[in-house]
Parts: sequence; structure tokens; C-alpha cells
Amino acid sequence: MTETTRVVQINYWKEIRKDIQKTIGKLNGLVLLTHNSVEFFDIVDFLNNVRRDEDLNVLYISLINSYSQIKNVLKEKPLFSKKLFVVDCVSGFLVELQDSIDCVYRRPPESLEEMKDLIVTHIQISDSNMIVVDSLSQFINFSMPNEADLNNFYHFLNTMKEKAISITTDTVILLYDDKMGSMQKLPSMFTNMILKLEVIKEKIKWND
Amino acid sequence: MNVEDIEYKKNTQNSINYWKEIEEELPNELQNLNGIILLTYNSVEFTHIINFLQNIRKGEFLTVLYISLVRSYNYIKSALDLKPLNQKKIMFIDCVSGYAFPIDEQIDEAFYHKPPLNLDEMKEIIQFGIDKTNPDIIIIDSLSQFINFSKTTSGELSQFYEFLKNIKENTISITQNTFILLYDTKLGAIQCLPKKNMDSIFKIEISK
Repeated sequence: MTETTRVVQINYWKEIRKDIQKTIGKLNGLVLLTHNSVEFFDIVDFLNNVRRDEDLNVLYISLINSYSQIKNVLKEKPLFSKKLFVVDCVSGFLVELQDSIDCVYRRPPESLEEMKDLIVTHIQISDSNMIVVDSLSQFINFSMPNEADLNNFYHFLNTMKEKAISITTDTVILLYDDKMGSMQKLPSMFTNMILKLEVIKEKIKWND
Repeated sequence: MNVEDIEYKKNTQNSINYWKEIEEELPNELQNLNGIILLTYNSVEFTHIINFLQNIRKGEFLTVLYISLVRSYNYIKSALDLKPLNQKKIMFIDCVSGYAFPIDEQIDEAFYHKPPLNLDEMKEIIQFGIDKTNPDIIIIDSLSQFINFSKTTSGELSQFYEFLKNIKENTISITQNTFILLYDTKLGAIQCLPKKNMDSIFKIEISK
């Protein structure tokens, strides 16, 4: 039997190193940032380029890295002109941890609806100008999404536009790790911009 | 960061590529396209490449020199009969059927040539095509015959950059100002994106 395939989607990308400042220097709106399993270290690099000349409060909802891991990376690679407020949804179950001035520990949200509530609740506490959600991969697999998952996701994006984006909080960055497979459906209609961060790791050959 | 992470970081170096999804902006991006352009794709059908080419400098009457190393003139001709490239006159150098040399057949829009063995020979074919057709746009289909960007040596890369430099200095002119290099990523994901001497890099990603 012959296997037939059909084209589901065609995505066009442009490499933007030359326009990086033009593209993300004044980034705002709802942005989907897909990546190939980058480390937090590389995300800091990206964030340093976003609205780099502004002093901003960033609400960072982390479902991947604990606050202590984030702090360790930031010691080595500081985040310039941005103050991070972390909602750590990783360490919540491990030990009893006390909330601090720049971090709160919460149970991981189980759905996009819970994620939305978590974000909306913490916008005021953190007085944030920018929100980063790391990451959506916990809730949706874009390599093989079904109709219901997509509708649910589009609903989440719309709610984010209505409830999270405001004059003061005007940049929401949603991270998505495409390790599950390349993205079949890009939510172009519901986001302001879709970016892809591609990190190529090369082993260094040491000459002894 | 734990000891393993530090050790890993010491032994690897990262290069980061930033991509922007441009479906909506594609017509604008391609309207005034010029310089040296790399177009990578994941084994797309030729009709998808035609779609892309159709949008380049739309509205202008242009002569395109298409140097094909992977598809025969007959194949491309049939594809173009089904999906014509409006307002663009295509002249071919077919390096695929080169050994067949259909000398009895007089075709005004196609020349047959032996496949070039290296980039120096490629330069000669480009010059031959320019002399014969005086094109506005030159397309090489594809670079994958000469270089594998999934595992490029520094020697190969310098040779390639030298080729681009030569194109920039000797081929690109006021009239011949768009030079498109196609590259199929079927050999593996690009490890080293050749950014030097390149004006724009695009990627077509097809999900099936």
C-alpha cells in the first residue's frame, strides 16, 4: 500500500540577525517564542535584547526551571535593565519554601485556564511590564494538535490579550519547546509575532 | 548550575539563529528583494519554490536565469506550464540532462551544460549564463550539490564565503541585483548558517 501525505502547513521564516534590534528592541503584544530546547542561559540572552533600553519588571512564570537554578544562571549571566519576579511552579512540591520579595512558590497549573489565573493574579503583585511564560509545551503539543486543543489554546491567547495585556503590561512572551516535533500549526492569527530561537551546539575541540 | 552543567558549557560553544515567522509580510519582504539571498527548505515540491519566486519583485518584467543542478529543464518546464511565473521570463541552464546533450533540439530558453564539479566551475557557468541571457535575477538550484551545511569544515566554509564575495563584487550589478541560492536541508539540519556576505536568509518549512 502506498502511503500518501498531504501538506498541512507552510511556514515562512526570515533570519533576523541584522534586524534584531528593530524586531525585538521594542517588542510588544503577544509573542510566541519557539525554540529547540534552549537553556535558561540562552533565554537570558534573548531577554537582554528585548526592550533593552528600558527598565522593566518581568513576571517570569517558570514550569521548567526552579528559582534557585534561575538565580544561579543570572549570577553568571546578568539580566540587564530588567527586574525578575519569578513564580516558581517547579519547587513547590519539593520542600516547604518561603515566598520572598522576588519569588513565590506555587503548584504547577494543570490547564491553560489555571495558567491564565496564575498570570492574572501575579501581574499586580509583581507590578510587571512584561510577562514570560516558560513554557507552553506543558499544555500543548503543536506537532500534532487536535481541534479541541487548538481551540482551547486560541481561547487562552484571546483571554491573555484581554486580561493580561494593558498599557503598563504590554509584552507577553510565551515560550514553546519544539522538541516534540516541528510545529504543524502556528497560531499566527492570534499572536502579534512568532519567533524561533535556534541554538546550535558545537563541541569544542581542545588542542592539548 | 551543577558540575556537569559547568563541564558541558566548558566543552561546547553555541551559535544562535533568530528567525521570524513572516507569512503575512512575505509579499512585502519579496517585493524589493535584492542582494544575495539564501533560501533553505525541507525537501519541498518545486511548486512551493515557484510560489515563493512568484512573489519576488512582483509587477516587474524580469528575466530570470535558472541554473539547475537537480531538476531537468523538462521537469521544470512541465511544472511551469501548470503554474506559470507571471511576468518573468525564465532562461535555463540545465546541468542535469547535460550528458544527454540534445543538440538536435533547438530550444531558445534552455542551454545544456555539464554539471559543475566545484564552485569555481559554478562561477564559469554563471558568467556563461549572464553573457547569454543578461538576467535580472539569478537562481542556483541548488547549493546542496556543493556544500553540506550540516557538517561543514572551516575550509569549505571559507571557500564558500570566497564564492559569495566574488558574486558580490563581480556579478551583482545595477541590473543583475538579485541572486538566489537554494539549499535543501534533507542532508541534515543546518549547523552553520552561512551569514557572512549574505543579505537575507529565508526558510520554507513544510509540515506534511
